[in-house]
Amino acid sequence: MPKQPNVYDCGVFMIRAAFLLAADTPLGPHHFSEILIRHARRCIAADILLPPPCRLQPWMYTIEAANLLLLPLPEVPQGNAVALATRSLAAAVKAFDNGIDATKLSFEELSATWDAAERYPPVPQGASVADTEVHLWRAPKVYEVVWRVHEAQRQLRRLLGLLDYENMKIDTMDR
Amino acid sequence: MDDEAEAIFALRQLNAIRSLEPGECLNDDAVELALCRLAEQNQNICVVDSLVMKGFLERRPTNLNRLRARIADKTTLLLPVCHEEHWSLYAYEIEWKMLQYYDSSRRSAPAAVEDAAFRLLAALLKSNTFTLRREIAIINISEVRPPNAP
Repeated sequence: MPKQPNVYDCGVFMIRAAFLLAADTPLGPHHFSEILIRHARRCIAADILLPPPCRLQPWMYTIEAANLLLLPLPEVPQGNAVALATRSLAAAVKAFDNGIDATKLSFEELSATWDAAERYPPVPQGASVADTEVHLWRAPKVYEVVWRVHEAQRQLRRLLGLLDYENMKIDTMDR
Repeated sequence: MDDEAEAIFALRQLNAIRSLEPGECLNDDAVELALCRLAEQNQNICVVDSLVMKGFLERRPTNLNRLRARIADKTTLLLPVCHEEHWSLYAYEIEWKMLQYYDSSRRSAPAAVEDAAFRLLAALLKSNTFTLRREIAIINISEVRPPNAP
């Protein structure tokens, strides 16, 4: 009987199994077939780092990053700076997982999407919660947030360097 | 949470994140923080700290009073186990008295681990008379993982 090829993934599978059990989902191999290990690891990291509202509302991850960016970094105590760095990093990771790779958007592309977004209609009256979320995700302010995530990542690299945590990297930064 | 506690918690988060990098083995912080998030989302679940299980594995005296208070209204206990640098999971359904074992290496639990889990549950539930039904759930993605997966 073949064994799991990479023993270092046993913890990831164990956590994944626990989450499936909690959802009353019978386990099967197909639950693991679509998940690349690196993706599962990033999701676990985001779950660990981000506050509950962000976990419930995916689009809030980017807003969280933007809010963090507005903090005056040099005045943040070191303990809080570590929290700030980790939360910003997780926010950037989650933004990527939600289809926004801020690091690959050029300024011209952002400007173009900004121009298009300005013509985006407001949330329709009577829209469902799900539709509203989708609408907000595409709305102009989101593109502003995307830009701030991009800035947050640059600030984060600087912050991690200041805190000597340059070796702590998640692959999103390199993609 | 005061500043010191917040800083310690943040450092635990960093410690956990480091172990979540590709190729790294997950540490206690990563497992505990992730499963605590799970318990926050599902009020029926109680996660037993892996250090408690480790105490039973090493036959050290362990005070279970606080843990016993936490399981009062729970239906499921999750017991993450780290034995010989390998993570596996026991899930115990209190109502059905059913114990399941999850292991990605497709092995049955080592005798020492199984013995520790039984002793922990007996001590925690203050009962030596319950019947444990044991099922081995096998998790293995080696045959279904995409060919180019890392």
